[in-house]
Amino acid sequence: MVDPILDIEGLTTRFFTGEGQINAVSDVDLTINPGETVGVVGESGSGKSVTALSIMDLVEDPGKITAGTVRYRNPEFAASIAERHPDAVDGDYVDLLAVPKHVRRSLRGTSFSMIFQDPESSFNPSITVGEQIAEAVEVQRRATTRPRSVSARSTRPEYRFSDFLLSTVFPSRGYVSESSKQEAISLLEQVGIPDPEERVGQYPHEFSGGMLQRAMVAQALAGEPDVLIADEPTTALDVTIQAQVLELLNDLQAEFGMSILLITHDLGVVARMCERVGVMYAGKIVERGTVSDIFDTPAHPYTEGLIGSIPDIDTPGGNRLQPIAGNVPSLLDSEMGTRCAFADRCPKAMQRCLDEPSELDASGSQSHTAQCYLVSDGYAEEEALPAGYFESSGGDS
Amino acid sequence: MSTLEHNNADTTSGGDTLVSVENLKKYFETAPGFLDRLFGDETSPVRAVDGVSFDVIRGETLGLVGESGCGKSTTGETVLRLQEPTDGSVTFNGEPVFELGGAALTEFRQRAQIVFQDPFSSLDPRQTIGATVRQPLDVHGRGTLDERNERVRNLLERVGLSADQFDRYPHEFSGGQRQRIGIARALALDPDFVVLDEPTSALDVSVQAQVLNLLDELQTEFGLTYLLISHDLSVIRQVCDRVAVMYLGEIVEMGPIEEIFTAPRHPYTEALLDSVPRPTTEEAQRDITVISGDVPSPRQPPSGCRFRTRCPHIIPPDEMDIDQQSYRAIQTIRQRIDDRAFTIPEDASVETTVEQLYDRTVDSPLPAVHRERLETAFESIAEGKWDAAADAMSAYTSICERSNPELDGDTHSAACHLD
Repeated sequence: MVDPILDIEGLTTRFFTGEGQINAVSDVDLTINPGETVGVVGESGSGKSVTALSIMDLVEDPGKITAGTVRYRNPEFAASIAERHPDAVDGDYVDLLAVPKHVRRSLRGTSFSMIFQDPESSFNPSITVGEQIAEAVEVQRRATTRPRSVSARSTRPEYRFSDFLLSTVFPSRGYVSESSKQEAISLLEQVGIPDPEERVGQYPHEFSGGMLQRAMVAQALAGEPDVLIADEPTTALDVTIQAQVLELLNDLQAEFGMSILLITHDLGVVARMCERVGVMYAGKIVERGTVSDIFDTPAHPYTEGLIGSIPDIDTPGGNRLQPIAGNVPSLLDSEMGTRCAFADRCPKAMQRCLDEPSELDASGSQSHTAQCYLVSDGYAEEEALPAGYFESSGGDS
Repeated sequence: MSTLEHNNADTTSGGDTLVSVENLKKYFETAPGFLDRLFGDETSPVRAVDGVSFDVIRGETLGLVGESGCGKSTTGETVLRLQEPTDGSVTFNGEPVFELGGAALTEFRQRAQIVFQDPFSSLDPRQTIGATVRQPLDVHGRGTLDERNERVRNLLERVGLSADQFDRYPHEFSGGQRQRIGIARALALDPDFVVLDEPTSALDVSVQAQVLNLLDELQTEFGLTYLLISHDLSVIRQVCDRVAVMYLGEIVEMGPIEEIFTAPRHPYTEALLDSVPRPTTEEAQRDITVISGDVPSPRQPPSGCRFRTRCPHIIPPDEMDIDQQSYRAIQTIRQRIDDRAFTIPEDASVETTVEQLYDRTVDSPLPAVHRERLETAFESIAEGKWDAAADAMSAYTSICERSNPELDGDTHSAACHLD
């Protein structure tokens, strides 16, 4: 068995807001193997995006990663920092949460890159798409040639006074070299944008949504990352365009062999793209396994409910859907308590789900695990909660 | 298209028509900007809805499906006269909606309602939900205040909320609950016809299922007729009796739900159905035809069939021997010649320009006859003669660009030259 390229354990992210502590991500374990696509699926507010941001260390105030390790396998990188940060290095692995911020930052782009949900708001509208991609290329180029001065926004060698004047209007003018611009063109070509020589000089508003999403993929590929984190990459797109972008991601993965962490709410997209899946609910991974584990033999009642709620496009309608009762829970620490977060929507909740919720089997021996007593011990009818137990707390239908 | 289609729908459906839409058009004009006036540029209107006709039978759910920007929401709003139409007519219960006025219009407003997409912006944040749901009753002066409040409480209970939530404000509710409030408001006046404009697209799937079930129950209970607008094909199949597929302001295919989903006739419907990823284990192995390109601008829709710029089955001229892939590539080049969308290097010779353009636009080798035509066209482009280039390529003119196919008028009708 291959060693995973990314091994996340006990990742916990909290937001400390005026209303109280929000448990966005709690104790998430996840491994990603080289060249593999792993899906994280969940409804809005389940913590899947914050998980992605936590891996990239992009969580903003008032959020904080409070516990966990994100171990990244890269022998060269481990060797290069072993001397200065011996605590963080373990063989080929480096614990990214144990190294200083600037070291983590140097990995963005070259080791990890991210594409976001909304391409229209992820690009600067006043700079051409080509410049924005070329800038990413330039940053990576400098990171590899002069690793110590990455953060310094130095100018390129043939810098002239006219460049200085231009750079007051076009910020990247003095920074991006001609070869990076050429690289931007070939990147655009790689992501299937027709006639990249022309497109490179256009502004984001001249691109369609699908084309911009492709451009964002090009930008993310600039540093040839080991892991591409795609946060709802097709949610803003129409289905025919979504199919194009998913095909592109598959092709690029076959070509470059990067791993993909795909964050989505769409189980169809997971089925199309992923080998393994983690299902998130209220900040926790409640079940994980291969695509066939999750879709054919779902173990957690939430996973089951989620699959049962989707209308099936391949069978005649008219039958009633089997929704999950109630609403997505609050993640406020004060309101969550210690019970299983799904208990109030679970058709088979038991007394012990409230007292001491089940833990996900983290031994790693099994590939298919679920955080539920129903899986480990089975349903005990005598322990069932009385009907309407949660009504008083204001549950919906 | 309109009259033929319309008559057929009347006779074949057999039911009693509640809403009849005929050749409905809605264009959005933009006022010319300063630069446009300075240079005398004409602005062309956005043709959001461009001649659609359909009937909604009493008691059924008609689905209107299509991608963003195809005009489905505008159709829904115009049918309810929330937008004034550019052309066409809508009859509701035998009365012409666009000619109504006074008491008759008020009556229509009570009988036709709408549920909006976004439950976060369609409720007034400063009104209690009770007042929100009661507002239609207040406006139309139904009963005494006590009677109205009583009706509101019943409605709230009916849509799965509790009557004692009457005095709460919208921010206290989740998305699914707010959508239930929107539904209660639409039902307050006991309408016959409800336009559901993407009622579940802002909701999570588990909550979506609750709302779809609720809508289904309410339809049976109150004998409602729905026009369901959605981009989600699995929702459409779950809920609708018949469906109309829209593309760029036109209906390209319409028919009974099962026929559309099991035997689609229009290449666009086929591609749309194919593109939806299925949540099953077999999905990763399923072969799908990915259609290329983007939806063209509704300001300048393509001539002839509007789907021809992306269609995987575009029809070559009769006597021409050419495979679909090459023909598709050539059609794309022709489109770009028409748009003058090639940049010509300034100081390059004609030969190098031709070579460059050829390399940029052609991926797989073409038979000699097609290559020669292309090179002639590229030569003209290199010399700046765009019209000559277009002429050189005119041999490739497809029937799909010459004439716009019309719905053929069957119960399951499609607008495509292939049939």
